[in-house]
Amino acid sequence: MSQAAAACQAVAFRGVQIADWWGLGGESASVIRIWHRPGPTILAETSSASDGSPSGRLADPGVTPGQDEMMTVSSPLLALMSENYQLTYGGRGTVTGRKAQVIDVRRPGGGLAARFWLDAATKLPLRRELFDSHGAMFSKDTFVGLRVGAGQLGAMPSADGQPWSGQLGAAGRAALRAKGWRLPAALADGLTMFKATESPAKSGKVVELSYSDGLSVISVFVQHGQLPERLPGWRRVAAPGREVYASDPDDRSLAWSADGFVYTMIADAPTGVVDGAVLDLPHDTTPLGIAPGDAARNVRALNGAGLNGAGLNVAGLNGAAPNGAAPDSVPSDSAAPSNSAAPGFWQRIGRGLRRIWSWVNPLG
Amino acid sequence: MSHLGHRLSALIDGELDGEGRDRVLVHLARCDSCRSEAVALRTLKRRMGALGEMNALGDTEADSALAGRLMGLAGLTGGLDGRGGVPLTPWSAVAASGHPGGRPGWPEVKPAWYVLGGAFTVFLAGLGTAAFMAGGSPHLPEPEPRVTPAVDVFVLQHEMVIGERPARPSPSFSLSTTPHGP
Repeated sequence: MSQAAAACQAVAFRGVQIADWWGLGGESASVIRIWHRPGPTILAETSSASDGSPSGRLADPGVTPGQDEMMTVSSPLLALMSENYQLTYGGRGTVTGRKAQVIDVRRPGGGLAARFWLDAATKLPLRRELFDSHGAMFSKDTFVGLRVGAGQLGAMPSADGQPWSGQLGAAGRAALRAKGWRLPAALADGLTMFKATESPAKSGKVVELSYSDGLSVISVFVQHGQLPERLPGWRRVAAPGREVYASDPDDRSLAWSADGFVYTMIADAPTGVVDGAVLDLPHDTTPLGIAPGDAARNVRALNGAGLNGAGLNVAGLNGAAPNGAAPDSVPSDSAAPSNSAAPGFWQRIGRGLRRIWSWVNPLG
Repeated sequence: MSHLGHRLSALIDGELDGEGRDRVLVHLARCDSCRSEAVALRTLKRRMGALGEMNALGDTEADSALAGRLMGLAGLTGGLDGRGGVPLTPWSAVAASGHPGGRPGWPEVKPAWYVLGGAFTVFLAGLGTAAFMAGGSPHLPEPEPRVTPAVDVFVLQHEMVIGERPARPSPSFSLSTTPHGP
């Protein structure tokens, strides 16, 4: 697998990937054209139902274009994969006519978590299958066309969009925690923060926290504010006692408010892992009055709900102790700003005026 | 409710005499309500009379005008003691005259401005009090801005985490399922 990570950096190639996903909303698929020059980034162009390119869509009317999921192997994720799973040689195989070596990725208990087909010649990944904790496949990515070599790149398009450049190191995260931001270093199911960036926003700034166990990748975007009362295009998911909203049928793009912050989660992970991650992050109230211990037990019950689970069934759970996930180095609760200091007269007047305005503002 | 009508006022003002005065007094002896009204009228007259005396002693014109206005508000006509005296000057008349009897040498201020300034002061005081009360409770959270997640931007950033960069869409997008060698 380390050879695969190196190949994804060093080998020039282009091709087409078919990305299938089986989620709560049924099967979805994307067709992704990929170009790669030696370097850390891979250009990807994904087909969609709205781009007017019927040739790029799958013919099956029951399959809908989904959130694109590009297959690659990177060193940071490989390191996390090695920590959380056992990698074993699974034999030989063939993918679209190319000879391949099969690598099985197994959970500590022995269950199959993923299977990779690596090109025998270049070590590039040709196929990847991901399985949930029940052994059901929820993701399959396959190269259906692969051309290797710089001469095969053809008319390579230009990149559209830039990643956020504001790296948020440990010191920066600690400073934010001291101001009340809750930025856990780990989430349930072995998801570890491997990258943190920030970007300016209208509400102040947005912090992106990226978590992975080597296979699943979850990004959590945190920003000051609260969700509006109406969220066009979003629907509330089955989370009694919580207000969690999803913008996609698979519940892979989620958002909610907590303690003056808005959390948005983008997940490439099975349902059970997404559930556990959502429950590990802050939520507003405990309307059902369930004690944290009960919440923790329910979190464990939710994990592994798998494809046939009920999705986000976070009944009455709140801010519970993470399910085996270590809290960040600075406990976020204790790092919250203290309210004990009485505000000055003019501060109090100003805060009161803002509150009154928020009460009477019809557009608020 | 008086049964005597204007005769009660005339009695208080000392304008009745003889048989008419006797009839009114006999009625007052038997009627509690008219007697109470007579007492009230006497009290009012006494107080108005005191204000009139202040005016007569050479107090300021402003005080005189104030007494006149008070009498106007009380609905009395004909002067302080019912026999003439200072004419009533309601606010509207004062405003129309442009000189309500203010102190000589002071800038002229129309009463409407007093009303407006008073109302504004009361509003500011009320708003300040409300803001002070609302801003002090530790249980009320600081109002946070409403934020609609920019999910499209976030999905893009999420994909870039693993090294993917979106390519500018090309006009033609065709599948190629034929494998090719290196």
